[in-house]
Amino acid sequence: MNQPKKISEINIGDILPPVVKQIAQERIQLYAEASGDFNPIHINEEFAQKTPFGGTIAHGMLVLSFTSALMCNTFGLDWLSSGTLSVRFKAAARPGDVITTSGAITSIEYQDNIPLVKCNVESRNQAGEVVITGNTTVKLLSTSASVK
Amino acid sequence: MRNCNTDKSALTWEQLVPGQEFSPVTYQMTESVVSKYLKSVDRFDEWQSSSMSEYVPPMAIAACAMSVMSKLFIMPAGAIHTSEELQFYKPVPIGAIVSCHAKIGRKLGRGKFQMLTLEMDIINDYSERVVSGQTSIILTS
Repeated sequence: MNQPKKISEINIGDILPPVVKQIAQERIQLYAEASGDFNPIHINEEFAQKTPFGGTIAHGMLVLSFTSALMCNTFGLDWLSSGTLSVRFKAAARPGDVITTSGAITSIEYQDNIPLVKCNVESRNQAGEVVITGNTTVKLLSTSASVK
Repeated sequence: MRNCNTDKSALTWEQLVPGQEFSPVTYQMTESVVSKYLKSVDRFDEWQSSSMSEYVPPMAIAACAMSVMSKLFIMPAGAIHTSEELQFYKPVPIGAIVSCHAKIGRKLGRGKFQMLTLEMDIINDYSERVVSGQTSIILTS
C-alpha cells in the first residue's frame, strides 16, 4: 500500500492510484467459500448458462472489494474509521475479466474542522464497460492520505 | 455465537415483508475468517504488510453480514445485487465479536420483477455501531 501524504497535498481532481485485478472462476469459488454465498449463478456453470448472463458471474461484493481496496490504499485507517460508499452494479464481471477500479477526488469539505473528501469511483472491465459506479466519502481523521 | 459461515432455519422469499426484523446474529471475525477473505479478494499480502493488519477489512465484515443474512432467508438462485451502500464507523480488530442486526427494507414485486432491500447494522462488543449498510437485490428470473 502507498505511503500516505498529507491533506495539504490533496486537491480536487486528484486521481487515486487504480486497483487492477483479474477475475478467475477459482477466485469466485474462493470468495463463495469465504463469504458463504454459494448462489449457483456464481459457481454453477450449467445453471448460470440458463440465466440472462449466459455463464457464471463474480459476486458483486467481490468486485466491490476492489473499491474498498482503492480507498484503503489511499486513505488507510481513515477509510476503516469513517468511509462511506454508495454504488450501483451496472454490469456483471465474468471469469477472465480484468477489472480496473479507479477514482478521483471531487470535493473536499470541512465538517467540524475535519476534512471530508468525496470521490467518484468506478470499476471497468478490459473492454471499458462500466461494472460498478458510485461515490465514496472519507473523513481525514488522521489528516493524511496518499494520492498521485 | 457463530463463525462467519453460520446456519439457521430460513424463511422463504415469499414470507419476507417490509419492516421485518431478524433476531441479531453474533459471530466472530477470527484470523482464519479474515485470512480466507483476504485470499479470496487477492489482498492477503498487501493487507498483512500494511499498518492495518491488526484490523478486519471492512468489506470482510460486510461480506460476513451478508452471509449471516443469507442464512436467515432462502435467497432464490439467480438473485443478484444491484446496489450497495455501506458506512464504516470504527476499525474492528481481528478476533472481535460482532452482531448483525438486519431487517427487510423494501420489497417490490411486479410480474417477473422482484426486488428486495436489506438493511443492516453491525455492532461490536461495546454496543458501538461499526458498519451499517443497505443492499438491493433483484431476481433475474
